[in-house]
Amino acid sequence: MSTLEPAGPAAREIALVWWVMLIGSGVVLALVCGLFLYAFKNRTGLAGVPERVWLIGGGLAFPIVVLIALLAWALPSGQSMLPRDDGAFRVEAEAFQWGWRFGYPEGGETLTVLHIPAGEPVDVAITTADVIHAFWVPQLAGKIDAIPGQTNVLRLFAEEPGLYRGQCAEFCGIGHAGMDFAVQAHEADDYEAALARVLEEAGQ
Amino acid sequence: MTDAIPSPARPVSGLHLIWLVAGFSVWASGFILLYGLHALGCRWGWEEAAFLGGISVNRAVLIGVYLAHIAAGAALWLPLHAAAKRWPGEGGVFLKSASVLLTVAAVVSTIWIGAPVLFLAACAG
Repeated sequence: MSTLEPAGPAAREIALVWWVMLIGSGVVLALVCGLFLYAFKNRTGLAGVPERVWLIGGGLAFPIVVLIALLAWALPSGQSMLPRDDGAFRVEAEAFQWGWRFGYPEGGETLTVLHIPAGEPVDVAITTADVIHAFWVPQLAGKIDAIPGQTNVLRLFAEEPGLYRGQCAEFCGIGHAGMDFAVQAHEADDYEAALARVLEEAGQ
Repeated sequence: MTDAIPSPARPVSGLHLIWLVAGFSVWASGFILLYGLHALGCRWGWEEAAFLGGISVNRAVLIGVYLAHIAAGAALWLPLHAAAKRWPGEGGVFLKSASVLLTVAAVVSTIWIGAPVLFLAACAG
């Protein structure tokens, strides 16, 4: 269930942002620690650098440039993950204390496991029957809140068939920790038959 | 003519300190209004309602709030300078430069944080 094992484009983008931020902050930390150690070893080595360079260069210009670069990258990247009006397959998810109910366009519902076709975008319309929960399948997409009276849509994309675990990501009461679920992605050709089998087994 | 001798002890009035927070008060108002109206606009279907020139009512409202706050921040310039002329002594000099810097920072920050209303998608799903 790791965000670092992405199985779709949005999750891959999120994992990349994470790695770049980890490596970037590692480099900055190494640089600052290096300067710090140097200043310990050589008390006068940096005395010639004017304070202005540290304060304005290091304290203002450097973080502003880094943050602008991250923002310029993250904004379009976030936009690319949004659901669009392109007729994507759409399912419904309703959270409750403490579990998930999933509904399908042709009728029928499943508990705990959401069945989707692999290799195509799937929009999940997420709401809740009681308190605020959050829908999160780390390998497939970011997370989004399930809010009473409101429907939030999250786009999933599973590149390969498989079982992807999910977890409620907003504390929602005593059963929160056990409020896990899964997304089962089926071969697109086999999806309808697979879903029909699941619904039949559930007696629907 | 007792007031011909400047009194070094005359302090800057506490009320003048309002100029330190004026710029960022405008910034805060812009932030809260953009944040709240964005959410409410999406909820109330303003994104689907067309405004002039093909932009949505939602975007038009957000851009209007954005520009109004930039203008309000910039408009602090004249009254700030007029007020600062009457601030006495060293305290007055400090208060003036601090107020000017904070107001400029607030206007730049208002421009920066609201700029996404010009180009990002407002509502999803």
